[in-house]
Amino acid sequence: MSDVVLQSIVKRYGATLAVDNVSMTIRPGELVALLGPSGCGKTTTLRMVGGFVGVSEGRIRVGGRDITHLPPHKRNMGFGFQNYALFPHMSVAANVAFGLEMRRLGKAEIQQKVNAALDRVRLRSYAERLPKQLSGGQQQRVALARALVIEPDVLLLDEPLSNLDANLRQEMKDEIRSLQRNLGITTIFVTHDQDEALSVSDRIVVMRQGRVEQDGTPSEVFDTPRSRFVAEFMGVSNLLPGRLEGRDRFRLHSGEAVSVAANDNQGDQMVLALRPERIEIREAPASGGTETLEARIEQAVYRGLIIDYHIKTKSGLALTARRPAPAAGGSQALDAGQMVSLSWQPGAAVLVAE
Amino acid sequence: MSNAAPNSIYAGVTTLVVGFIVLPLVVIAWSSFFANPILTFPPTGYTLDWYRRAWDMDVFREGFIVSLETAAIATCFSLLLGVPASLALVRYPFFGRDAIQTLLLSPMIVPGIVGGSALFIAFIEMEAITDMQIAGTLGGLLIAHSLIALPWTVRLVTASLAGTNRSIEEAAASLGASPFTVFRRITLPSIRSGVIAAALFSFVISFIDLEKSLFLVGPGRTTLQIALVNYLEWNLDSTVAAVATVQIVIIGTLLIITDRYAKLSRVF
Ligand SMILES: Nc1ncnc2c1ncn2[C@@H]1O[C@H](COP(=O)(O)OP(=O)(O)OP(=O)(O)O)[C@@H](O)[C@H]1O
Ligand SMILES: [Mg+2]
Repeated sequence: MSDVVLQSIVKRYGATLAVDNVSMTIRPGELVALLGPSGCGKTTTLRMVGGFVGVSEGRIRVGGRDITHLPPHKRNMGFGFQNYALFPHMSVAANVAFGLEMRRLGKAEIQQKVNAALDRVRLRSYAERLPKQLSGGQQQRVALARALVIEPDVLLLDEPLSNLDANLRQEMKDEIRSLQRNLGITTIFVTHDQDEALSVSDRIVVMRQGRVEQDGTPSEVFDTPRSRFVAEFMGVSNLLPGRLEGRDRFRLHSGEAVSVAANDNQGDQMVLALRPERIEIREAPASGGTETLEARIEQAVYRGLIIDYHIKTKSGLALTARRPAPAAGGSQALDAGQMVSLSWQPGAAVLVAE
Repeated sequence: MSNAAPNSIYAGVTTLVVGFIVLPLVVIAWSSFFANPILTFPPTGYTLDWYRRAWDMDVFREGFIVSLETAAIATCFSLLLGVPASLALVRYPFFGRDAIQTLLLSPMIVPGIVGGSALFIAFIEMEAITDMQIAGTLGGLLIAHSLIALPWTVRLVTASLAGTNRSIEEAAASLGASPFTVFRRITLPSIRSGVIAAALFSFVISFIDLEKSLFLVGPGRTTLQIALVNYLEWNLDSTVAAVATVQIVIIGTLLIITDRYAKLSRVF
C-alpha cells in the first residue's frame, strides 16, 4: 500500500492549460474519485499519474518515491481503460498472464496467479476465450483482473463503467469497490457521474477547468458544497442568489429573507443552495410562521418514484421541490395552480460562493 | 419501377471491363500450349514443350532466380525501413512529417523509367566520387527495388496502424512491458496482416518491375522481365507465353493471398 501525492501539477498543451496547479494526496488504501464535467482535466491528471502523459510542472510521488519522470512500465501501476484495452490477439488467460510474464515469474506461479485472478472476477471458465468473445461486462472484469494480478501499488481507472448498461454498471461498481477494499489498493477513479463518485469513493476531488474545486468525503461534497459549481454538479437545482444580513439571515435578491445556519462566510454575492428534496411543501397556506414562503404550484412532473414540482413564490422566485410520489409512500399529489407554503430546516440550505 | 435495367447495364459494363483485362491473360496462357514453332493462329496442336524449353534456357532460368532473389531481399529491406517509418509517421507528430510522407510515397507516382534513369545517373555520379561500382551490381539493383517496394509497404502498414488501438499499447506498458516489448508483443501482432500484405505486395511489385531495372542490371544478372524483353526482340515463339503464364500464376496467387490479409481495394 502506497500513498500518492500530486504536488502542484501543471499540464500544458501548447497554449491550453489542461491541468492547472493540481495538488492532492491519496492515502494508502484509499479510493479517490476525480469528478468533473467533460474537459476539466480528469483524464489528463490520471494519465500523468500513469506516466502516459508528461508533466509540465510539479511532482508526483508514490510511497515517498518521486516518479515524475519514470516511464510507465517502471511504475507498477494498474491502469483500467475506458475501452478496456484487452489485447485482442491473446486469450483471456494470456491477457492476465502478460504482466506476470513481464515480471519474469515462473510458469507454474503465473498459472496459479492467473487462475486466482480469474476466480476473483468469476471468469475462470472463460480463460481460453478471446476478448471479442466476451460481453462488455466480462471484458471489464478481465481488464480488472489483468490490472490487479500484478499487485500494483496504485490502481488507476478512467471511467471504467461508462461503456456498460445501467444494471451492469451497478454490479461492476460493487465489484470494483469490494475488490479494492479487499486488496486495500490505493485507487484513483475518474468519472463524470456524481452518483458513481458518491457511492464508490472514500473521497471525492471535484475538478473544474483544470483546477481542484473541492476535495472532501462524499458527504462533505454532497452536503456542504463549497461553490455554486460544486452544488450544481452535485444536483442542487435551487440556487438562490442574495446576501448575508448578519450571521444567520440571508436576504434573497427576490426580496425574501430566510434564516440559514450560523455562518462565518462573508461576501456580498452568495448563493443559497437548496436541494429540491429538502423543501417541505404544505398544502395549507402559511399559518404565520416566519420560515415559510407562500407559493403556487406551476407544474407537476411525474417521474415514477418522485414528483418534481415547479413552484413560483409570490415575489416571482422559481424553485423546484421534490416529493415522493403517492405510490412510493408520499402524500397525495398536488395539482398545478394549488397554493402551498414552503419551508425547510435551517441546516438544509447551504451558503456557497457565487 | 424495377431497377433491373440499370443493374443489367452495370453488370454488362463490369463484364466488359473485366473481360478486357482478363482476355489477354487467357490468350497468353492458351498460346503457351500451341505446338506451332512460330506464334501464329490457329494452333496446329498442343504441347508442354515451351515450358521445358523456357526452363532449359539460361537467360530465363537465371533471370527467374535473379528476380526471385531480388524481390525477396528488396521485400526485407522495404519492411525493415517501411515498418519503423510507418510507426513514426502515424504515431509521432514531428516537424516535416507531411513532407516525408509525400516523399516516401513519391516512387509510386514518378514513372518507373524516369525513376530508373534518375537512379542510374545518381549511381554513376556516386561511382565517380567513391570509385565504387554501383550501377550494374546486385547492390544497385536491390536499392532500386527496395525503393519501388517502400511506398507500398508504407501505404499498407500506415493504413493498418491507423486502425490499431493506442490504449492496448499503453495497457501493456502499464503492465511492465518496455517499449520494445510492447512493439514485439502488442503492436506487431496487431498490424500483422498489414505487414504480411506489405511483404507480399512488395514482392510482387519488385518481381514485375521492368523500367527501373532496365538501366541497373549488370552482365549476367538480368531479371526475368528484362530477359523477356530481350528475347522478344529477336524471337516470336511460345516460350515467352510460357514464361508469362508462369509469372501470371505466381503473381495472381500472391495477390489473392495478399487480399486475404488486407483488402487491397480498401487501401488504394
Ligand atoms: N493531446 C492533447 N492535446 C491538446 N489538448 C488536449 C490533449 N488532451 C487533452 N487536451 C485538452 O485538455 C483538456 C482536458 O482534457 P481531459 O481529457 O483531461 O478531460 P476530461 O476531464 O477527461 O474530460 P472527459 O470527461 O470528456 O473525458 C481538454 O480541454 C482537452 O481538450
Ligand atoms: Mg476523460
